[in-house]
Amino acid sequence: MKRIAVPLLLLGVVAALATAQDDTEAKYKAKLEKSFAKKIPWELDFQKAMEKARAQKKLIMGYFTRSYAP
Amino acid sequence: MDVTKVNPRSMPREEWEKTLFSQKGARGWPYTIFMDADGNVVAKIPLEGLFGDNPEQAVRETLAEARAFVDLQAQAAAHPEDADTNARHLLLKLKLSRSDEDWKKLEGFVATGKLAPETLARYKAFKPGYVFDGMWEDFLKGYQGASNDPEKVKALEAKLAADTLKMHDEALAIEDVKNSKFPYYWNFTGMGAIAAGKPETAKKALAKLETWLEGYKNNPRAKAFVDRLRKKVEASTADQGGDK
Repeated sequence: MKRIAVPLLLLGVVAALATAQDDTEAKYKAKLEKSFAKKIPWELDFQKAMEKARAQKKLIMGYFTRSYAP
Repeated sequence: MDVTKVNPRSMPREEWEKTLFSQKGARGWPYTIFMDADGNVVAKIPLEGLFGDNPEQAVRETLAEARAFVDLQAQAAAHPEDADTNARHLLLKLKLSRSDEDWKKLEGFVATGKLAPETLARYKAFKPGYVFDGMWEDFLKGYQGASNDPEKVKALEAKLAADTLKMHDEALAIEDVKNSKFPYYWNFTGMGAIAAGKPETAKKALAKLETWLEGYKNNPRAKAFVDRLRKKVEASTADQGGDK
């Protein structure tokens, strides 16, 4: 699919009740290893995403996810 | 601003409200928001970002909506005297980002004679969606401060369910709600109806949710979402019989 937006990845870490911080951190790292996170050239800085969008005349696609969501 | 790894369950509310998630009006996770280069929201994939069984189509359709909104925004700015174009722009903008100021502007068009009252009346069916969005925002804010307290979360859900049921007739005027494109609305209506002793109304809400689920057959989370309400409706019907 032709790129028409600057992709911006935003990760939230939401701990389940009684889940240790280490487990949440592990889930966060596992999320970053998923194919959608690795294959798309996500921009992690919102200011930079806006600069790129301006320069390339594109929209920004922001994807908000969490450690245990799709 | 750096993208932050945030934990809403532990962040103070004032910090939470500075996050992009909160500022851009995301309603759950995952959530997809399209913005212009200035960071203004131009389209969203709602429904907790569940893309349905055809994610590429969902993204393409939403991108088309985003482009249409950006064009409408430009037309409205170029023609401030065109009340109808400006009203359409404000309505779409309100769908994306709640703003009491924008709603007042819309009503102001009528007050200054730039928009006919009957035209605004046609648009007024949109207001319940705006109201529900506000209720949902309040729910998320409350959840953020209380999510480690199951009793508080239960109370928050009960309030949202009761409020949703109260605006049921008005909400049906909104096409997206009537056409089952708003699953959270039907979920909370179902819960509110059960709490109010109206299992038949809850069954109707469940039927709407099951219609929505037809587009998400391959999504186990969507199925689990509907199953939760289904179990409550079944239990309620067994206990209560018909609506009181």
